[in-house]
Amino acid sequence: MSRLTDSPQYCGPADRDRAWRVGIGGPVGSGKTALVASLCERMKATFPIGVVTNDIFTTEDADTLRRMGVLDPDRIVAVRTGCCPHTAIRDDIGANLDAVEQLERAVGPVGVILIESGGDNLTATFSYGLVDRQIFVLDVAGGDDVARKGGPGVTRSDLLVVNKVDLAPLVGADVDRMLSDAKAARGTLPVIPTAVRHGQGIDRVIGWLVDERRRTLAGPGP
Amino acid sequence: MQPVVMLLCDGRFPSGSYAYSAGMEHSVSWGDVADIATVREHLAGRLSTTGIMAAQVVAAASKLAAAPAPQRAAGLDALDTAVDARLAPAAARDTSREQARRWLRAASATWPEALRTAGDLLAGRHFWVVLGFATAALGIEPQDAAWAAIYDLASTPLWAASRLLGLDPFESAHVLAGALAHIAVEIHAVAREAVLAAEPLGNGIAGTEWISSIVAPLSDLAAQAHLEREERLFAS
Repeated sequence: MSRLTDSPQYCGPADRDRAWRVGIGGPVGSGKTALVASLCERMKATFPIGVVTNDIFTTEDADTLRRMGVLDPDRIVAVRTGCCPHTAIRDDIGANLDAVEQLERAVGPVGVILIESGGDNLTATFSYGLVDRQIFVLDVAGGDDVARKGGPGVTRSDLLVVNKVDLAPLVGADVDRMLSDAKAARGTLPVIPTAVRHGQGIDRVIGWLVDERRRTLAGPGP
Repeated sequence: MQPVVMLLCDGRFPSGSYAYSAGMEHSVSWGDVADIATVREHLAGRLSTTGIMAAQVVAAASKLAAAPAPQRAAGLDALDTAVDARLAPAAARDTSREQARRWLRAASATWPEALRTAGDLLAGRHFWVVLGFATAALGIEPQDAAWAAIYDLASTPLWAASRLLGLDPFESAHVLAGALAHIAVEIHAVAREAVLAAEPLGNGIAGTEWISSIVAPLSDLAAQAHLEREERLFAS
């Protein structure tokens, strides 16, 4: 399975002066906000970071991140998506581009911008007009058959994170089966199991991000 | 009609329109709009007030694009000030400029050659001013440009209501078609008159008092109240 960035349309960031952007998508409750918070906490010393959230009807995720104090409040911007979170990240990305530019204007050069989607279904992926890479987050408590069901987020995202592996015994989920289903669907594309609340697997996610950023910025494409 | 108009009116054209409800979300929360009958009344009220003004501004801005360069900027300033004066709540003015920015981003990427010079002249201006002026550069007639604005003005709150109230989409489409047909003769007329009335603007003579100042105050109040809500789905 080829990833979305291998498509002929993708030609890498149009403007290398701008921040490197990473989309973080996945179903409601899979742990996107917790992952964003954890990445901010651990990466902000190395990279100036910004966050754009795409909540469905509140600024809850942005407020949560501000409350957690993982970043300065002016580094977190919320976009309203008019009942259509998938439209805002895939089909009509102007509001998110506005938010990214507003953030870069407000705080100066940013190394990495994490763009969190509103919780959506398995078909919701980011446009590569908006992000350079995308991570799709599933969780074992959402059902261990989700990886097998597939959809573009599972099969073609640049990184698949399978979160809450610590909950597997409590919800009767088979993590090994979920990971092997994901690997079967994704070929050589990476899958990282995590338990974000306990910090498990975060270092691997950061390692992947750092490598991918270097690859994007070094060459004409992945 | 030029085929390019269809692209502009397509809801899938990536100009950000999906995120707006044009005050409809708040009207629904107030209970003013609750079903397809009240949606129909809302559209009729909006088109016969704000709609007239929008058609005039768009047609005038379109006409202005043919004026000599020095007069263009002054004319655009005059139209922009006229819209400022007619959109009473700050929220409505902010939304109009935001919508313009998002529309111009999409249009400039779609037609980079045609809109290369218009971009600087239009930065920071109101949506209807931008729409009229930029579409002239694409070869669109003032009346068709006015229709693009009217279609947006009607379809934005209609489809927002459809999502918010779970309306029958076929019934919604029927109501939209009816609302547009009902106002068609009047829109054609005011757009035609606006093209004539905008002549002096193109000759460097300010004067926008002919632009209708009949607006929809309840929609204006809803627009302002909307921004003060804690929970909202739409940007407007």
